[in-house]
Amino acid sequence: MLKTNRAKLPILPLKASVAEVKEPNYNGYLDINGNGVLMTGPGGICRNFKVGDRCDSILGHHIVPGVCLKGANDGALTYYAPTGTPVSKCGGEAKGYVLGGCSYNGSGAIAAVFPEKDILSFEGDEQFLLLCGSYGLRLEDYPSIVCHIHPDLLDKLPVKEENGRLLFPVAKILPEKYAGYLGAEQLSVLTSDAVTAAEAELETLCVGDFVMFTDIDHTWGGAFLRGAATIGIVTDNGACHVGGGPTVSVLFSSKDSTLGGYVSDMGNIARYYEEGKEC
Amino acid sequence: MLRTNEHLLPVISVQSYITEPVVMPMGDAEIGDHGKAHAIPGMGGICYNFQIGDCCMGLCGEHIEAGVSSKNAKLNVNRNRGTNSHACVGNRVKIQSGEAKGRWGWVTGTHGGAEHVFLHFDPETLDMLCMDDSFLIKSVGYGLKLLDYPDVMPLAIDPELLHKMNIEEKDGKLIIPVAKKVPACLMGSGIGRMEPGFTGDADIITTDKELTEQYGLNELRFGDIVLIEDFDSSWGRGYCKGAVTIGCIIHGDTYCSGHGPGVTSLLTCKKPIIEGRIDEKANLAYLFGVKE
Repeated sequence: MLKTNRAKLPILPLKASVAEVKEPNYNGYLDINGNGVLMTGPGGICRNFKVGDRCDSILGHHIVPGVCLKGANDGALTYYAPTGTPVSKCGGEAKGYVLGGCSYNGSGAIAAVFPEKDILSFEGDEQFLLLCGSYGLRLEDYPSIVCHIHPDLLDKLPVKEENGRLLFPVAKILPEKYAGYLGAEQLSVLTSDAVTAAEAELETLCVGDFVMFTDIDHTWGGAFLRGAATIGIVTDNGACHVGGGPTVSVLFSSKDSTLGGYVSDMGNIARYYEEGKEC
Repeated sequence: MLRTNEHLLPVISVQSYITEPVVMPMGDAEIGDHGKAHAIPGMGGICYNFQIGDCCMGLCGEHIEAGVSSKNAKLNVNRNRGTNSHACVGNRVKIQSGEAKGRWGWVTGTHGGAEHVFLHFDPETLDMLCMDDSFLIKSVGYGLKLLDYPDVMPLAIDPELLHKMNIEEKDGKLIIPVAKKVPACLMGSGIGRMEPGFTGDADIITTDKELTEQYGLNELRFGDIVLIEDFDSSWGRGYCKGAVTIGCIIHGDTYCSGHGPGVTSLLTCKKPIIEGRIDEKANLAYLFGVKE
């Protein structure tokens, strides 16, 4: 198990509510050729899109599998409730986990995954409680790696330590040209250029996949940096506009070669939870 | 001379006012890409000592905007959106108030996110301005088309500037003088933003010192015409193999990760029609006749 500073991290319960479904663009969402595409906007509770499903299996603009949550304090959740944070329905039995930050008219919202029976029971006015306790998490033996993940999930990941490097299981390793939304809080897997997307077989990309970008530094914001690496998780289905694609919530980043990935069938978060609950 | 539809384009007035210099997110400091704080001025206001033609790299400032930084109606987002969408690089702008009333300048770029429009005036005129002055831009260019090159999309460019750029037509291609070429991997903030390429900008990442040096980007100047390889700016901005964007440099460098000198898009094409020819005089200062 990796040595961390988790014992020093304050555990804070934060409340969240369902982010309302955004009105779709009046003239649709513009695709790469300037055509309007009529499709559902982000937010709300999606009943027919699950972690592990292919991103292209549903039509919409940044649709998350499960519940799109926002807090009372704009943006706080995306910092304090990273991937793997436990979430439960206030006054109910439903328990799930945070998939990661998502694109919801910019930022400030997160996606949360619950068992299907709970998703079907939600009506949209529920309150949720998140047990946050991971902001500032550090790997004691790998100080150059910046982390944004709940330590419970970190402990589950089958990491490999090889020659001073730390390797995480991922579904895909992508060169820097696939990284979109640079300079922002999150990244995206750029799928808008169909030819380039096909080269990396992005049609097989699934929501919940862990992906690694080479030569991308996201330690203090996303940027090209030769030799850097960033690993994130796919949290929505994507978007059709130029430079758009499935949102990637960043989990780890390093300016040097310490951080790495290995392609594995354990490269999707669904392998670590069963229907929203921990395995 | 390139054939265009400019005779069909309406010339429309849009208004702007000088912006206030902003305070950095961490109080008066900017956290850079190595997690270090930098106490430096930010964007906005009138910049007296850096103009188009001057180097925009290494300045002790964050996203420094050359000349006059302007926007419309501080409290009305829609009015400012109209100004940013209509204003094109090369548009003429007239001062409407104060000591410099009646003097003319040029639009030099639009800045996405901040939603600023930049204006160039000579140094004497800059000294006569006060922060309350207003500007009337005779906007034209929005909707411009190249009749013989339907795959090339003109963006925020005044037709008059297009004709001044010494674009050469050769074997079905457009050879455009540019100061620098930029690889797509260095493009950062602005990618994936849901705004068409005729408004806003995208930044060149300069945190990779080796690649920045390799492409000569430490010499970038405000107003430089640049070519971005494999980059589409049509209905948004992002990587697209084989696409080309021609743009001009509108603001200075920054310590902020994923950001850097900004590029307002002037022309873009997904097909291999646009090529660049290096010319150090490919800068708005020369094209406007500000520098000889």
